Amino acid sequence: MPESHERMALTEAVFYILLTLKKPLHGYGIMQKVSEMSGDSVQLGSGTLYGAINTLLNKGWIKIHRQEGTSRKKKEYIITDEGLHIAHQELRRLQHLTTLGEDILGGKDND
Amino acid sequence: MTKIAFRFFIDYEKEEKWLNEMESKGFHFLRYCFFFYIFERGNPNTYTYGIELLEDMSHHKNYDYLNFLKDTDIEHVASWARWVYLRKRKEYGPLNLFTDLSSKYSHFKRIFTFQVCLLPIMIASFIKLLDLTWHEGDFFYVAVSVLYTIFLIFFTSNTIRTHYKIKHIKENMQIHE
Repeated sequence: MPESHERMALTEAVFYILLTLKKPLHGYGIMQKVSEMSGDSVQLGSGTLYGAINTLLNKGWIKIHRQEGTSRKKKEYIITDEGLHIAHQELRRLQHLTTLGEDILGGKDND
Repeated sequence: MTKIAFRFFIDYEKEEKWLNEMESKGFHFLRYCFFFYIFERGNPNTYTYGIELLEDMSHHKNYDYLNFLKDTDIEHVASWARWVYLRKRKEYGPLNLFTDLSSKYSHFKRIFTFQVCLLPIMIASFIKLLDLTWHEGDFFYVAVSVLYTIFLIFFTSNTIRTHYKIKHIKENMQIHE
């Protein structure tokens, strides 16, 4: 497992955003995709999403893909290589947790 | 047709609730200025209203944020200092601004700081008012002092409530996201 400078769990919102941005999307598209992917169980609030996007841009995990026109500032975002790396790392962390959870709570040897 | 209402709110969540109640009676909120609310007649259950205290003082960043909200179907209706009044058409879904604990936490923290910064100014003017009342002693000053005292009690208790809301969210953040 490649060790990164950060070994902290991502928030659910951030993990979802990184997943949706494998393809370029603008803010509204991210919200729709997240609710679609989660079967309507995760609804990202506009303020929460705006804050998360700015943090991810600052960290360089996502970048601006395209900006439409000048009058209407509709920006499209896409995941960066570093963002992909982080998402993979999170995936492994989650996999480890689910395996562990299944082993212990899964009922094979409940005592 | 417009309607003007005079109201005074210390708690923004109560204000938000009231705006939505007015909306359900067919009054769409349009403008705010010094305790006066201007409404326009419209179809009830068209909009959901929300209120937010903006993070930045910078116009550029606020413009960027409000533009972002517009792209997510949230319309900026009115402003008052750093407070913004927002609305979203009900057909586009619920008006969600903050959906996780950490963004809720920072919003309440912002409100708390805002309230705490106002307190010294209010206490200073309260002392000045009491001083005036003591020396002038007429009915007008006494009446104003009484009203101001009531206001100050409500304002302070609201600030304390905000503090407890923050504390509650913080506790939740230790176990939930």
